[in-house]
Amino acid sequence: MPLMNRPFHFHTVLSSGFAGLLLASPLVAATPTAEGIEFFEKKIRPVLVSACYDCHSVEAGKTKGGLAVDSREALLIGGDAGPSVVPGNLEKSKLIEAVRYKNRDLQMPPKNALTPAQIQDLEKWVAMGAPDPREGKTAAAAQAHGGVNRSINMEEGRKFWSFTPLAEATPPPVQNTAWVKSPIDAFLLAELEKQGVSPAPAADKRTLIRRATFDLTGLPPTAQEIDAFLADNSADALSKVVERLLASPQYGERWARHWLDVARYADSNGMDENVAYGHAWRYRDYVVRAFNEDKPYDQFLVEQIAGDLLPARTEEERREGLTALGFLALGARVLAEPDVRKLEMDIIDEQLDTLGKAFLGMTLGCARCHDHKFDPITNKDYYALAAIFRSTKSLADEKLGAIKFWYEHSLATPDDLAAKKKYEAEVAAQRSKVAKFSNETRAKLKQELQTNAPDYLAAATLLPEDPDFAKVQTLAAERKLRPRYLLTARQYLTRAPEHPFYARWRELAAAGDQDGIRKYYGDVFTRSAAALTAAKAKDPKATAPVEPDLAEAYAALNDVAGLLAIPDKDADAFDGEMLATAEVMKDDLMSLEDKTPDPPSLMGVRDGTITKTLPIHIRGSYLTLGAEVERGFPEVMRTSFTKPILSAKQSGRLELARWMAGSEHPLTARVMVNRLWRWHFGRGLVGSTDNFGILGDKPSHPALLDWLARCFIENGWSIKDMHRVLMKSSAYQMASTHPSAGQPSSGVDPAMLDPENKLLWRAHVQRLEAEQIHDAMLAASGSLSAQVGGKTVPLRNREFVFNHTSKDATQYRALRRALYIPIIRNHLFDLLEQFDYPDPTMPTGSRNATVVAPQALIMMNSPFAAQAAQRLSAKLLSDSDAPEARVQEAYVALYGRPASSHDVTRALTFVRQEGDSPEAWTLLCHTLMSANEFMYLR
Amino acid sequence: MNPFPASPLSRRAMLQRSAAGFGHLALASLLAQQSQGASAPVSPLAAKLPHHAARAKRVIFLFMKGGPSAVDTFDPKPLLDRDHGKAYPFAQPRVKFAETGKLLKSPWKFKQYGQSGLPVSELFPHVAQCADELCVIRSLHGTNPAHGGALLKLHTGSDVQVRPSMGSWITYGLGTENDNLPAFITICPTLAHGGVNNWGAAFLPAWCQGTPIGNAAVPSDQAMVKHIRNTQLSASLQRQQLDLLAQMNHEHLELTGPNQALEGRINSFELAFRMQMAMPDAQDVDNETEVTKKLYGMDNPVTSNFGRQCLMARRFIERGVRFVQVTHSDSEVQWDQHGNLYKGHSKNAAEVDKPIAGLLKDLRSRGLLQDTLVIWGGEFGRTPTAQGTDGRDHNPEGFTMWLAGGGVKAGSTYGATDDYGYFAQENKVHIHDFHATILALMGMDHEKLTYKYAGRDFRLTDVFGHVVKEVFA
Repeated sequence: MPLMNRPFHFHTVLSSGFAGLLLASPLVAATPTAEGIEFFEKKIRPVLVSACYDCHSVEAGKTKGGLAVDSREALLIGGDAGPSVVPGNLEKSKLIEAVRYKNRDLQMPPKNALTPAQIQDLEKWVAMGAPDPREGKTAAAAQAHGGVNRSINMEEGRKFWSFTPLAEATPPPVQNTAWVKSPIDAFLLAELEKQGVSPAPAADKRTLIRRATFDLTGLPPTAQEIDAFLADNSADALSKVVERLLASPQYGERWARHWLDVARYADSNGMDENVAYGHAWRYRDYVVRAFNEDKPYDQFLVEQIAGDLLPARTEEERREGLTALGFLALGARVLAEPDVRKLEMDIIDEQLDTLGKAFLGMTLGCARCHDHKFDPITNKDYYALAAIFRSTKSLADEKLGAIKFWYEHSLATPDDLAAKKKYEAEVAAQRSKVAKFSNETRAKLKQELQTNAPDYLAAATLLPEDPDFAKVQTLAAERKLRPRYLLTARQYLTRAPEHPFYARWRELAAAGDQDGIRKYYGDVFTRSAAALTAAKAKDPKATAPVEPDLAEAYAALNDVAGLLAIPDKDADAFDGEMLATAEVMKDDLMSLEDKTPDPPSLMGVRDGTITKTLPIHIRGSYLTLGAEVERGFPEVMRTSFTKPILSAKQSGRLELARWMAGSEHPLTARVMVNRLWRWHFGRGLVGSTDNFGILGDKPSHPALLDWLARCFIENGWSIKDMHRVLMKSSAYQMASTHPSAGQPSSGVDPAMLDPENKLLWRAHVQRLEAEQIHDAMLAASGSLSAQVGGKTVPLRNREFVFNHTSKDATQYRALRRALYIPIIRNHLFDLLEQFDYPDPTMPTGSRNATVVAPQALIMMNSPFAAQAAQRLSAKLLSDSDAPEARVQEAYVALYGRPASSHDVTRALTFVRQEGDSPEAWTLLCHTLMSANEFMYLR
Repeated sequence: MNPFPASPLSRRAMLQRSAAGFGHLALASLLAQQSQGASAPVSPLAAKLPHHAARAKRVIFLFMKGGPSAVDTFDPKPLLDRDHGKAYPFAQPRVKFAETGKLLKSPWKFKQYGQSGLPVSELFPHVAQCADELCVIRSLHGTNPAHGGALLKLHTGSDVQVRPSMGSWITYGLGTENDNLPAFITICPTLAHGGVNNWGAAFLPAWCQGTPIGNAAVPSDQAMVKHIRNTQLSASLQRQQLDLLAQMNHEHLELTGPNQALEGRINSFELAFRMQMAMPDAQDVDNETEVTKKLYGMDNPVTSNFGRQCLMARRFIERGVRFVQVTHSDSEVQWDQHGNLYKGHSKNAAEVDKPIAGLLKDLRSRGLLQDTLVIWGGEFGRTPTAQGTDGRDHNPEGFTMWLAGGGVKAGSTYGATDDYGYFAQENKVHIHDFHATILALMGMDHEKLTYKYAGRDFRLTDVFGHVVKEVFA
């Protein structure tokens, strides 16, 4: 054993604490000695193989944390946390730090620490210069695993379609020029003609007005609106309808909802803790206004990112800008995260991820822990953006226990604050009244139970070990005892079969001697009480009798989980009148709390301490920091050769927002026009509306997309203009059926060629969205309220939606548009939840339209559906006495068409079969509302 | 003539668009009509073959909301008794929920039970009688010290983002064995601390979603699936209504031409109608024998609420439901004794002890325990150090959960915490490892059970997780 025979000098050095001397040791690059290699083979390789290779070797196909340890080179390069081994330097070698298990955030192997001997060997080995004979292609392989430093080539990256500048597309020539009402049609038709497919014929006028009205306002057309459109034979009849719809306040309510999906709008936090965003509605109403006023999209964008930094001429403008900032504040956050620095970085991540998906169609969040695995966005790009938000204050200074609150701009006047204070004082007074009653009642109850303890003990002898409650109740009534506590006593005696104080009870109970029990325990409790009084007379601080046996009796009687345990919950502890009184007092408290006013306030952010740079957080953790990065914008999207210069006095949000809203930005306009397309046509030109990256879909019509994007910018980012452009096209006005579909004999069958209808050879059949279903069911009977805006969440700001009690504090006012239904994260209104309302924690530009059985249950059994049917039925019955006219009215209200004679006969047969009563009509309406014809747009 | 004979939908696309919901019938029948003979119709929810031999076919997860203390239940620490009142001699966690004081000994005594001699505290006298069924893991550890984060981590593997729940993943991987019931049911779940996210399907198909029966604020005898009952119409009247609806929908379909969604919707009403019958029947424990009801403590006001939940769980898994979660979360006092440890844990244990033992015994006697995995535990444990004089704080650093049935090593313990029960120390099992192990017991490889979303493959265990094979029988 040469190693043992020739002790190395390092051992002495180490043990005398001079490890630092080895820092510049020539051992680093030296060829390992034979002894070194032998030591490695004997002591080190076996440990690495058995303890590390599972997760950190190329062989095993795993390089977790970007680290492989199966070659010398890989160890020297290390993983995301830095070099694993710095030869000769124990303190800088992450491997040593990890195996020492002292840093709880870096402990390896994860399941069990190595033995002290193994750790010593590793230390010895690193100190001797980490001799390691293993050659390997490991580093290259590790890179391939995405672990180490994948280098992103920005030049290559910029060639990806969505990062290229908007092309100047001209509409291509087509054969069927008669079909081309708009350049849009030329782009689409050129592709169809290439495939030999003709577009579907125009939709009939009834279908068209139903489609357009639902599309722009989310509501069905009225009978009068339909008639007027049918009667208008002018060429621009549809344009007139479109203008009427765009001018109605219901337009903003419908299209704001689309944007609110993207802004992951909600009225509550709904992550770890669910507290009310009591002022979120102000942002919602801002979005409605923005659409109704046709606020230019570039301005809309800038306000939502930097509304606080914009110059404002009036107080109204200042408020408008601050209100828009709700966008940055509405996200779902882990509010009770005790690690505040982590929380702050998590919030920044949520903001960046949302902003990236909403405005740029980019999954920026993927670059938090490492370079984006697919898109040309680096870890550095991420922290350049993060630095901007690190300079932004998103959290309020106040907190409630472990819960941190989001930042708000208060608009409260001194009067508002005074009014709030007054109510808070009343609430506090009522709360202490409730507590006082509970405490006093508990004291009385305790006194009563203790006085009657001998009777409880006596009665318990008549019950089996595990009695039925019915039996307990009968016995308790006979003995004038409280059944709940008689049961508690009996069960306690069963659970504590060896308790010495109850030994006498067990004997006497076995003998059936109730009187003996009463006498014995009555006596011992009386004496114990007297003994306590005596003890207190001697020593006022005494809490128990001095005599051991009496102390035991006292302890047993006062055991909070013992013979006479009183539950914490009033509902369990109290009965009869005392329970009723407690409940009434609590109700009063709750209604006082509900009445406490919330002074007006705007959810948002403001600039905080300006940080010009932020270090890269390795693996996304602030505990492992890397190089500092300056504030900036993702390199691949940069539209100028010079690096942006950001104000030293501001966070940089304004510069960021203006850069995103610039007409040179390759993504902003493309992403938005694609969404507008999706919301009209049912499918985006880019299917993945929120991902324009490498993993997203490619545009089905790239030239059309760029043409639309340019058109959008040229029209001053006017969204209303885009509606006009899109709806004017023949494409928008096509039927959803095609004569050649399913007819392979007649030439090209488009249904075979393009089953997903990507080429748009017909209109997509679209299911109504949740809100449309809701609103249309109410509109059919004319009972939908036209009120616009205002607070609808029935909770005070920051109030718990659900605390630990799971009690439902939310309620929904059903007669307003679904836009106003409070969006409680984790507890969505059933109809919204089941009909594919999107996850309100995630920007969503394209909703699903699933078909699941719970949707059927809602239509069949929910009170909402039943009431809507009942309202419609009542209207039909009051509007006309003629059964046929009633059926006609229902068909027009629900389907936008008259009933055929077949429809009428069937409906009337059904009504008669069910007794021709108002209930029968309700049942018919209920059925008509559940039908596919109502739920789908053709 | 069907115009889409070879509709090029991948299985994935089909799963996403599935017209099924709770059951797969809508799609199954649709496919049966469309099937041209070559390949048998695949239903997304139909029972599927696991990746490898499964030790368990179904799961009952007994979730103790709030965080039961390990050192007071299944992880006895003699040194904690000895050093009561002294300072914890090792470093405490870097991030703590609140400050805690000196070491606090357990108010309960432990005894060894069964042939295995497994130690159980006085809190669980009935479960102790089943000691030989238990496989106690004492070295769990997580990352989040707050309820919300920890619940999400335990249920979904992520405490930062919305991810599919463990039950949803298992449903996705294995499907169901009953077409008329949801594959994943959660009985009286808490709506707090992540709420629906704890049984949500996130980006997995909608049919993987857990179906809640009531919630923690609703007594279990009143807990129902939402809208499962029509209070106004008799079944026969509703049948007539659905017949009319079906007629109208079929006519409409002729007008629009074949459309998967429209056809699926026709079937979804039939499925919903059948579910209306199946669900109350499965929940109806009244026709169980008195002996069985008593076994679960249903005759007693302290245990009846949780007892009914456990008995329902058995009835669901008997009917082929894949994953049933049963939550113990009193609306006021959960297993969260920052103070009143003695009283609070006594009360909680008294409510669940007998029902849990009853469930284990009942499953055993019916031959169901061998392939049903029972899991018991909370979102974290509690500190061995005192908060106040009679309380313990949250402790995600080292805590206990136990498994029973389903191919686990019965009557055993695995892993250990330090001398005082603060940190997991030996054979540490992270929440991700725990998930990997549950999936392995169900016959699934946690690295292969993936779902592509937003361009990448997601897993329950993200990029983590080791299977703890040592707990396998």
